[in-house]
Amino acid sequence: MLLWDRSRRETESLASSWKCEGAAVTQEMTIDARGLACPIPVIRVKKALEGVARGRVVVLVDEQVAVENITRLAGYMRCSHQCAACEGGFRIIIEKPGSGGEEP
Amino acid sequence: MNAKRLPGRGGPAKGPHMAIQGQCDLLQLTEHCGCGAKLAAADLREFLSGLPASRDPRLLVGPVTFDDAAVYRLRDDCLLVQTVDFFPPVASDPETFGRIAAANALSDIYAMGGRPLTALALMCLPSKQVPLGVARAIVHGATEKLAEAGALLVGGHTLEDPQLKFGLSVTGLVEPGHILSNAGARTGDVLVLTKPLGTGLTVTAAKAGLAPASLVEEANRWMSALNRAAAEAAVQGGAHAATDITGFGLLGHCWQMAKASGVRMRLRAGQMPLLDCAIEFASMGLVPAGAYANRRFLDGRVRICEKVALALQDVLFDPQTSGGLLVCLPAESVEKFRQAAAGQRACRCAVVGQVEEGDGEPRLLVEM
Repeated sequence: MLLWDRSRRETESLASSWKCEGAAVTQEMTIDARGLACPIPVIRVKKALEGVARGRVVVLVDEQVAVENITRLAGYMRCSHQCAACEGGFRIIIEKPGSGGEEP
Repeated sequence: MNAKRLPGRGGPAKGPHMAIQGQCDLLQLTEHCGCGAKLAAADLREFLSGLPASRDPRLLVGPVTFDDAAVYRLRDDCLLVQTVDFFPPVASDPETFGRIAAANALSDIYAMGGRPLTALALMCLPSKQVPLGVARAIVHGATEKLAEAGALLVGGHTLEDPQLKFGLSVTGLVEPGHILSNAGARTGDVLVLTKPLGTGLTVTAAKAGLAPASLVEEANRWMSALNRAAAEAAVQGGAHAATDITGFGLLGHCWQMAKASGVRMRLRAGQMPLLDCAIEFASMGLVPAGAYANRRFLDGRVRICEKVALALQDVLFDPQTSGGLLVCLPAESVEKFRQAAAGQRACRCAVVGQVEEGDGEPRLLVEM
């Protein structure tokens, strides 16, 4: 319990620090992929990231394999990411930076 | 690079839930595909440890050396080789799955330097979900592959089970001087790999609907290919040891061979034959769970140079289904081996490392 509590506090503080930059974010969505085996979480996150020009995708997963695969995907799609343990698994926050004005 | 720009004709092979010719897509019936469903090596060792090992002077190769198949002496000139291998679907199409399962089971016989004679089929079938015609097509594919290998399907056993699984127990013979055990690698030997790596990644990408059809077909072609020509070339080339690369990945099987032989192996990651886009699938996070289990098992047992990119490392840990042979040859025999394997569609040979002196961990050194 203590471990979970500490993780939750860490996650919450992480979430609030991200919220500070919230003004610059265009879209945010949460994907709950707990209980789903890879590659399904990866497919969902990929679709979500492709669906927004820029924004933030928060993913909840309960397997280390999904964490590893989703962080690989985030790197592949040139998104920054942070991961923390949370109750019942892990929370990965992926930030899609946008095209930097190259696209119309 | 965006996944949409992956090369290939005909676009994505199949969406996650799309039916094929009115039938179920077998890949969507399973969480773990093919040899990726193997129990983790660490768990296998744990539950086997302490159990009494079979000992008999007629048992020439047994479980102690983590070998591909057991070898039992019937007479001085007649050695029996036995193996069993079965797993959940690794292809969407039933006949293709049957062919791959058969090639994979036969591979254990070839990896011992033997020739297969007879096979017994093992099938677990969720008959409420999977039509009997699918079961029939799987066995048909397997029979076709057995015929190519000159072996006979002589029987089998079926179970009602929630998860479809298929495979074979194969029996064969090996000439007394031709046994290719895991334990024969010698210092100075060269390591040759005979098929490209990345089948686990490609199958995972196919399951995700992210692999172009041409890449899935290519992976299926390699998984269906018999290791017979590679084994014949190994025996002709005077190989000291051989193993086939399956669920524990290239590094897992390499480690087993190094451990059984009491040697160290130096591998060149940059020389590995790879399936097209295997690296890209790994970068995209389409890495099967078995690859992570293989990586964990080998923690402390393999030292990987930092120049080897993470995605390439993933390919080296990727569980292969019906992978190629990893053959240990004296350096002077490599050319002979290459010539014997040349022109064989079932072989894409590459020198991927060498055997060095040293008995202790880390047994594997991976360089670029």
